[in-house]
Amino acid sequence: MKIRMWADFGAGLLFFVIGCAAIFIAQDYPFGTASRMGPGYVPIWLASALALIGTVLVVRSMIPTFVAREETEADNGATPIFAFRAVFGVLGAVLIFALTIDHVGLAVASIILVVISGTSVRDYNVREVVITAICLSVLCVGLFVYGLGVPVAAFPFRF
Amino acid sequence: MELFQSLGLGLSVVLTPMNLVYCFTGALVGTLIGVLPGLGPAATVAMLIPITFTLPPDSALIMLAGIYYGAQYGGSTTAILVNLPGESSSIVTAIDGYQMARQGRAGAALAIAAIGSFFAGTVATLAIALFAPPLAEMALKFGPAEYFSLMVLGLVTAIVLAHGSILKAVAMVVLGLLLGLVGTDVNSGYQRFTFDMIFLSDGLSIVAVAMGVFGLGEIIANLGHSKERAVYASKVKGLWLSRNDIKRSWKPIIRGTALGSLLGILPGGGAVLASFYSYTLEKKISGTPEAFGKGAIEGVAGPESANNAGAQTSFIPLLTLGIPSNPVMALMIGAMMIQGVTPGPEVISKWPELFWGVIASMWIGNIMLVILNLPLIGIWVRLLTIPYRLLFPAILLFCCIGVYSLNNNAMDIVVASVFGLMGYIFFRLKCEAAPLLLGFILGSPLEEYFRRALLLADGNPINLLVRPLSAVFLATAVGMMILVLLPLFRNAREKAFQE
Repeated sequence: MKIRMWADFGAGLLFFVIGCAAIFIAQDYPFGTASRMGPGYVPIWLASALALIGTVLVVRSMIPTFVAREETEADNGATPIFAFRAVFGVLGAVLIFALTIDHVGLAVASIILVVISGTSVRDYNVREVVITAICLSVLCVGLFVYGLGVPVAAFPFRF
Repeated sequence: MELFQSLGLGLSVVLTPMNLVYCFTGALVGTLIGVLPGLGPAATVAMLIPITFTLPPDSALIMLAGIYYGAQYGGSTTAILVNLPGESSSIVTAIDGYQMARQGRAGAALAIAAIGSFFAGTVATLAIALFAPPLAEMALKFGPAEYFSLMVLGLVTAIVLAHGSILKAVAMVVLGLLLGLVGTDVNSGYQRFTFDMIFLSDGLSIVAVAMGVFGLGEIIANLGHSKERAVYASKVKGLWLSRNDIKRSWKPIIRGTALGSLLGILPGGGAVLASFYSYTLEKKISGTPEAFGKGAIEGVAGPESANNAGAQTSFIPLLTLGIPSNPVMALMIGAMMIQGVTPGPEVISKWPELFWGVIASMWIGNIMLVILNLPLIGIWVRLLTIPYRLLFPAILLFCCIGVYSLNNNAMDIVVASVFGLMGYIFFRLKCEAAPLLLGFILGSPLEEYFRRALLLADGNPINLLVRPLSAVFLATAVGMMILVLLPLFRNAREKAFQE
């Protein structure tokens, strides 16, 4: 399958869904008139435009002649369609950092982040990841908490 | 001479020990992070904005400007040595720069990039000092209709300059505008798209959005779709240029600087266009066009100067109109607002120390870059040889701490991760993210000016066209849209971005 085709299709679908959702949410906002716009006026117009463009993209992606005219790329199968490992590794690490930072302090939270984010690489080397985690934790606490005075607790307790 | 008086005022602001330190630190840290593969200036600036919060406004902006051109310069280094352009404006540099590196002439490529950038930076600084004040004066007379039309023009330029499908770029701008409306409506106090969450009532944080799309999204893309890359690090030996190199380069540098200074002013991202045009121009007028793509020094000298000049003059629309011309300038607006400075034509008269200080600092910063980069190139090279699997946790951690320290609110990190996912999806769907960010920063002001303009015009949009300047802006926008859709221009544009 040509990349161009499903990229257009996917993007169109995404824009359509976001546009419709925005219309759905904004339908209760007072609309107003052109000379006295309510809070719903601009959002409804923008969301409708987005949904419309999405529709055009989806329809266009199904017209073969149109796709052929545009640049085409061969899908050589080397790159995954969706890099699940990287997505879960990176975003998981970031989200858990967000959940823990207020409770355990920067020193521990950064170790957790590095250890979890390490899983997004295929060859997980435990020793290497742990060493990186400890080094980065020390560096960040030193640099941000003591060096730049970023108001974040370094440890879950006070010395 | 008023110009020299003003520049003198600027220099007196920069040449205080404190501000010199901030300028130097900005350039150094910007280069340090910009050198890291896969991190462009936007992600670098987003990451480092929180560090500048505690500084006074002039120091903060001086440091951020330093970070910006440091990152820009660092990106060129990566483009030359690893063929991995950190952002679109160094794509062109990578073509011949990487070939030079493969031939063992990485040193010469880096040196000419530094010299070209410095020359371009100097000229562009003067250009800003010359053109910004009259432009700001003109902008003071703008009403809501003019502002609305100008913003539309800026967004259309961003669409035209985006890679790939125009339709997708339009959609990204519209989506950005919608995202910009999240939060409390200024006129009615109505909560829009907040899902009853208090932290959303102030709107989404631009740093969190930029960090997600440009930082986290890029990291995921790099990890998931890593390409083989070879670092031509060991081959950086002599930084000296031969007499022949200089003879071949000085004209491209001057031409590139002129092109870059002009195109950089365009709202919508002139730096990319400038470096590309400079490359095409040099290739066209060169006696040996076949040498291009195989390591022609002109192909590094011209575009590098153009890109740096464009990067500097892109401050003009920011400082005089309050309109960002690229994602980094959008972030600058965010930083200025946090500092209590409203970007726009009043900046020059209300905060002259800040305005002239920032401009003078650009020149000082460019000197620092040359002094800093040429001797330190060995360190940057070593940084490039660190495997990505060890590097990315550090980048990730810095991103998280940066976003968190915005408001000491962990929810900002959650927002960033949502936009990280979005950024990666956009990457896979071949939607460029820069128009989204420009739309995002302009969403709320665009709505505000639109409302006011139509209120004054009794709801009749024709009145936007009665005001001459507003009509010119809108006509230019429409003209550009039509031009880009014409088959002839369309093919040229697609070919241009493929090179």
